[in-house]
Amino acid sequence: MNAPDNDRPPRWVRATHWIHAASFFTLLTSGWQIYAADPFWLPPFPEWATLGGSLPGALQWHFAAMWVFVANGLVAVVTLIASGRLRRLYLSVSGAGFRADLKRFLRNPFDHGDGGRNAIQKLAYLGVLVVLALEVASGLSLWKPVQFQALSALLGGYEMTRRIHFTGMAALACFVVGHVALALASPHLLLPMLGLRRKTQEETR
Amino acid sequence: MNRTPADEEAARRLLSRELQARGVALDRRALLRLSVAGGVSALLAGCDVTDTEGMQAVLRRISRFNDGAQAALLRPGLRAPEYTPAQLTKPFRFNAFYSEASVPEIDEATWRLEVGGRVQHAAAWTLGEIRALPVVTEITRLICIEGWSAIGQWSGVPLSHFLRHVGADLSARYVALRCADGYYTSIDMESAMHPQTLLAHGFAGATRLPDEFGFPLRLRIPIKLGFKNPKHLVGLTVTNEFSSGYWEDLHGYNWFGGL
Repeated sequence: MNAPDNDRPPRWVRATHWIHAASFFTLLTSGWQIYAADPFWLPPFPEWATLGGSLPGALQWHFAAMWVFVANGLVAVVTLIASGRLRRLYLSVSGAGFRADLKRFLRNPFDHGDGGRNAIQKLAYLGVLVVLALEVASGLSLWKPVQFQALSALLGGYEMTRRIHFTGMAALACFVVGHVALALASPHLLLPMLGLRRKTQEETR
Repeated sequence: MNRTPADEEAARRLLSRELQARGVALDRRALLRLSVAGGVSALLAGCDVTDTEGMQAVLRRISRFNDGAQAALLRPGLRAPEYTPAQLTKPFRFNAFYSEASVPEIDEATWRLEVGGRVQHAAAWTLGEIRALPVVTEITRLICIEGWSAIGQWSGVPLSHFLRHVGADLSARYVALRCADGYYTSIDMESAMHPQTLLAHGFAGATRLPDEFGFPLRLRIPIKLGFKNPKHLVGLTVTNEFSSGYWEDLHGYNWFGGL
């Protein structure tokens, strides 16, 4: 499972990453269409950015994609923990390392020091895991506010949960913007995630 | 996607050569992955993809799967949260498939609830007869499929009591409901027998249901979405035959609509 850092990510990482991306965008764009039926904070999202055509179609997409999203997410998290990848690549943040990486990041966001994930990246990915968990919990509680009423109460009730679900969406969407921008700016990382092998001479940094 | 395998092979070789020139080796699996990514983006780019028949069929199948999942999640004895009078939503929100000006006006004197299907005592009930049955009052949250919610107070006879009273076959699968305005829907028997499911004829402390909220009789079922709470009831049928509902048939709303 422990592929060297300069090779393609393990197959399960690539598979769960892209299934996650596809189901996330399906949930995001159908969610924007669902939001249009009863907007609260922002006006509705532009029609071209939404999926489903109208509320009923969007709900069908949303409640279909949720199964893929959750099943894939469970596989990913379990494998991340079992393989040691979570501990090795993401939980290895020290206070001193964080301060050093923060200074370097503020000087030049593209300077990664030793080339591995820096502390800021690690914390960003861990934060995204937390928001994803919150998004699934709030989504479950919106889908079944009576059957999962303890969860609904924990999240502050039905109306509060709608706003939590929206806020989590906004946080994840912001992350995706940054994530995709950095990926496009770093083809040496993007191509391996797409499953494309780089030539040997390019594998040295 | 009507390309022949030969075209595909040629395209693959061409792309492979181009990528190799850029220092990228491409195997068959990588190409497959690229095609899937391309397919997904094509899917997401055209939003009327929901209108294509094949996709529509898949989504409807998943919606039927979700009906089953919701029936499995339903805990029959679990009551929906109830609220205090101070938490009532005022004014209560009107919602129908027509505007408030088109709300049907029903003459109580001629109105009847036709009860039939798998029941021992098929009959046409007057409002007075239904009002004479035991009355339960509850303050619950109505949650619309659009997302909004409103807390209201409804009074009426528990549907479970009514079904026993008319000698309904409680092993039947569905209770189908017809409305004076042409609306119709059906619910599963387990939800129909839920202790909070009412045939409601009172609202917000008044013994008369306001016209816009379903006079003279509506279903109030706090364990299902708003569109499963039909107003202006005129027919109730206990049946094993699946009949969907107005929004379900028209737009593909999920039938179970559970909360």
